Amino acid sequence: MKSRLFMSMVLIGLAALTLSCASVSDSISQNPMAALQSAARIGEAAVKASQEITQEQEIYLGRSVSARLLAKYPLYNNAQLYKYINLVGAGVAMVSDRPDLPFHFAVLDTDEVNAFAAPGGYVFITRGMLKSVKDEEELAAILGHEIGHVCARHSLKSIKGELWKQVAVITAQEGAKHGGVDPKLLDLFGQATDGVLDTLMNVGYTQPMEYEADRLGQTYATTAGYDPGALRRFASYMQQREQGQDKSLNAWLGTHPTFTARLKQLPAPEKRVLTPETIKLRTNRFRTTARR
Amino acid sequence: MKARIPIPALIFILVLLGLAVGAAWAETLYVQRTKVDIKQGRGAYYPTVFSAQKGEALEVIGQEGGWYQVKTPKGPGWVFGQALAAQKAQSTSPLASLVGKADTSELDKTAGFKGFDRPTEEAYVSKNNLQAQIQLVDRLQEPPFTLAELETFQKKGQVGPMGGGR
Repeated sequence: MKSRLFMSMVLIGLAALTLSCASVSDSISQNPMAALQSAARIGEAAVKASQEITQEQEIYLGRSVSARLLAKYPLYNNAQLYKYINLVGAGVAMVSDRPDLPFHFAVLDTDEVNAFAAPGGYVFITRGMLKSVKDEEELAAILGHEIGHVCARHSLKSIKGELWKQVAVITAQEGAKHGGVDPKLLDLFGQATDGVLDTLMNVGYTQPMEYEADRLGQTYATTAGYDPGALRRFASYMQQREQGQDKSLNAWLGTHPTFTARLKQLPAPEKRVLTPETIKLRTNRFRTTARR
Repeated sequence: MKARIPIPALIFILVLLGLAVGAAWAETLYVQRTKVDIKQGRGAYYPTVFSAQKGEALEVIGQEGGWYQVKTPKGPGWVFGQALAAQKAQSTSPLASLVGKADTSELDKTAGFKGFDRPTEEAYVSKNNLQAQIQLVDRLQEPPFTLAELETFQKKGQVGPMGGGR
């Protein structure tokens, strides 16, 4: 009896060993793909775009776009606020679809109501936009929206595919021959920078891209622990201003769909009850740094 | 009659299960990016333990939330799954096929393929007189908080992965 029991246990043990090895091994070998699929909400197009430009090149492009933005708008000189928006933004970015990308947040010194996301994780929010934000919940949702643009690589998609092809052809055919930077490559870098800037400041993203960034922003901020209804609350406030013909929104509305349209597209937020202590703490730290 | 598990059998099973877990994690994944920073924790804001190059093999010793814990010459660290694959980098980029190369890593070696890089940026900045602005961008790249401050901020506010988020 005892020996039969012993043999049974050995067999169970061996079965457990086999199953455990197989399932965990499969999970590891498949997980890089699964990680990509975790960004399924971003869509296949984003994955395709990611294959055409490396993260390193994306960051270089983002740096040049940021430099051009800073040539137009000065940075707002407030160290406390700068630190605060980076702390809020980091919390949201860490739960985004690109948690390994170091995001950088800054405030632009202008009354214009706007926010920009350059490739590679450079996010800018204007002082005018900050005045429209009521609390940390709304700030997290807005930064989440911009993080969404970066995660979905929207600005890269605004650059024509032909440009990337030319980059590859030039560097492959002539890259090794030049001691310095190939003038054609430099020209393409300038074209790519101009293309992204034009999208950010003049043309705007497509409406589907804006709606996607809204969805991603709401998801990221919610996942980070913020009020899931914050983006809807902010959009409703802005909708009122929009309907009141608020002229300070003209630049914003020139590159974005109306808040009325965005509210229609925004999914219903999940229900979550935050403790009064948590709300009070977050509200207080927002008020001491960036009050509406 | 109560069926009791003999102690030797119990020990044997525990040893088997231990081996199973150990064997399962002893997996090798390969870096897919030109360079990837392996972090002290699961996030971009943690200090870098080690930088691995494209094609480098990394032994996996753990996994959590899309991140892999790997062995490095400088000790264990974390890397996000999107930077790794079960096989060595074989680019499917349409760019590579344009120049008759199936693998961009090969392209790197043969043609010095770098695309947009530091020298390109420097030339662009010089051409457009953006020296002051690029210095500001350099400053933005340094997080204006310490890791301890980030952790305190998230814990107090109950936000982010350190404060109860995902």
